[in-house]
Amino acid sequence: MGTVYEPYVFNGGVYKHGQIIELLEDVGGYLVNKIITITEVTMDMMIPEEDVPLIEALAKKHLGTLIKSPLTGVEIAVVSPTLASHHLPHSACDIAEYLRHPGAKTTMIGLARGMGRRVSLNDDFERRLINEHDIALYCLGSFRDCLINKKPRLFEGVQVPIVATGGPDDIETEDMDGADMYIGNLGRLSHRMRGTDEMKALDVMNEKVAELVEEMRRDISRDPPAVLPARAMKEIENQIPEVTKSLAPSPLVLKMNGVRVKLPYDLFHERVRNVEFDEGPKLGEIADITKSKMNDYILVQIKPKSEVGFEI
Amino acid sequence: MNMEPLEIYKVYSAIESEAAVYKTIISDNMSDLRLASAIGRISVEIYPANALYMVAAILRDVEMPVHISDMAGVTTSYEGGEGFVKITVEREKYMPELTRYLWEKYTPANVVQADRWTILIRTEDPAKEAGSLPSAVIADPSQTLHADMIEFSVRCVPEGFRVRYHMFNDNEFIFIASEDIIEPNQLEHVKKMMRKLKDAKVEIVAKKKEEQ
Repeated sequence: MGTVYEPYVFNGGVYKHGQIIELLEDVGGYLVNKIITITEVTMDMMIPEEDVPLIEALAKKHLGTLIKSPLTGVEIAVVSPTLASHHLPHSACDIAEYLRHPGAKTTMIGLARGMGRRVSLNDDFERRLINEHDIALYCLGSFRDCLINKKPRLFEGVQVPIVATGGPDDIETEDMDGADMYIGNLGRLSHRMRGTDEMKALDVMNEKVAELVEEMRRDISRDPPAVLPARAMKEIENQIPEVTKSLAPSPLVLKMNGVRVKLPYDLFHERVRNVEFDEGPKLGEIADITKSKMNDYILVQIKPKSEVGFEI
Repeated sequence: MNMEPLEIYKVYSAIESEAAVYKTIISDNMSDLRLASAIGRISVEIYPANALYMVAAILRDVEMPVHISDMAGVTTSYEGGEGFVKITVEREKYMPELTRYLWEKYTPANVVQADRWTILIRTEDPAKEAGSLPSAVIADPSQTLHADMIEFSVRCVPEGFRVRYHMFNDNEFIFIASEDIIEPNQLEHVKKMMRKLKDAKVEIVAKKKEEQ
């Protein structure tokens, strides 16, 4: 079994934070994101499971905090059946925002024809777009009958793990055909989620999604990607400096088995393919580099070790 | 019918917890559109399995047509050797409607807005006009109320119920929405809901609430 990496976020002072980065690199961890705001620094990092106490001790010495951010490096599609006021901005936006707290990157997707009971369906483009993400989280409504009998049709063709959220809290995951997890108390609302019960439901959602991600990470570590996605991301950033000039909110999005590079495919895919690693192989040899369904971005999906034959 | 705001407010669904959830959605939309004080009695029934949503509501008679006398005082004045009708505004809420009415009747050139609270009207016979103006109707909020009730129903209806029917009869409002063709018996049902609402005794509902 390969190394299991744990995602953490460090918050602390800028002074001597370089020591933490050095230690992180020494133990084989990766810095995913660093934001400096005046005298404070926030760093998302992937740390090898067994070396977490070392970084924790150093963080404590520098009077910083190291908090687990279980959804760092996970891209979640928050899918609502339509973009109508029935789902947006409440509760789908509240859900997406809350998922970002523990580090997830979310994409809001409103289906074109997902409304209603008899007529709801998804189309090929939407399925492909959702499948580019690590997890699809569906924000569904409040009626038990719709949830169990009608809405599972929206899950058809979606291969990534599916989390369904809805109003009733007594539905079992097995009742929802095709869903990998059901989370209740998150149905249709016409106000911002800020009540105690509502916040609690969102907390439960984050916990459950984190559990699912944990399970997915352990599965992946049995046959890990040929290169750690965080490392591929770092190399892309180093070798293609134009990425920092991308106007997208987060130009590089770390996924569980790849990276989304927010640069035009036609102009940059060759350069992404030619990104080199110290050990010799190029990114194009160990990853599928395709045109993303999201705008014209580049999607890098790293092949597993079993397919490539080696791991770097 | 003289009614208190929301003296009857019922939401029915086959599963009780779903009815409670839907009541919060309806309440939120009602407060967004500031309709709570305008609705006297409302009954909502939802049948998700049959894709059916029905509303019967009785509106209160609170919104009467607005006359100029409700918002301003009308007198005559003599300034600069010329006679005017002088309107002294007391409530600004219907100011756009008042201005529109005066412009249409006297043309903009003859309507002089001296300051925020005073309008002078140049006319041939100021005394006669000053006598007739206070009773002129400049706005009818019940028209806006009707539009708001339809907006309210459309916002509350479960998503995807695109076949809709509504009817106003004085202060009675019925609304029905479905995914399929609306059957005559469903329409009859919502009319029956309305009859029940009209016949309901409010005291009994209040007692039941106390018992709970």
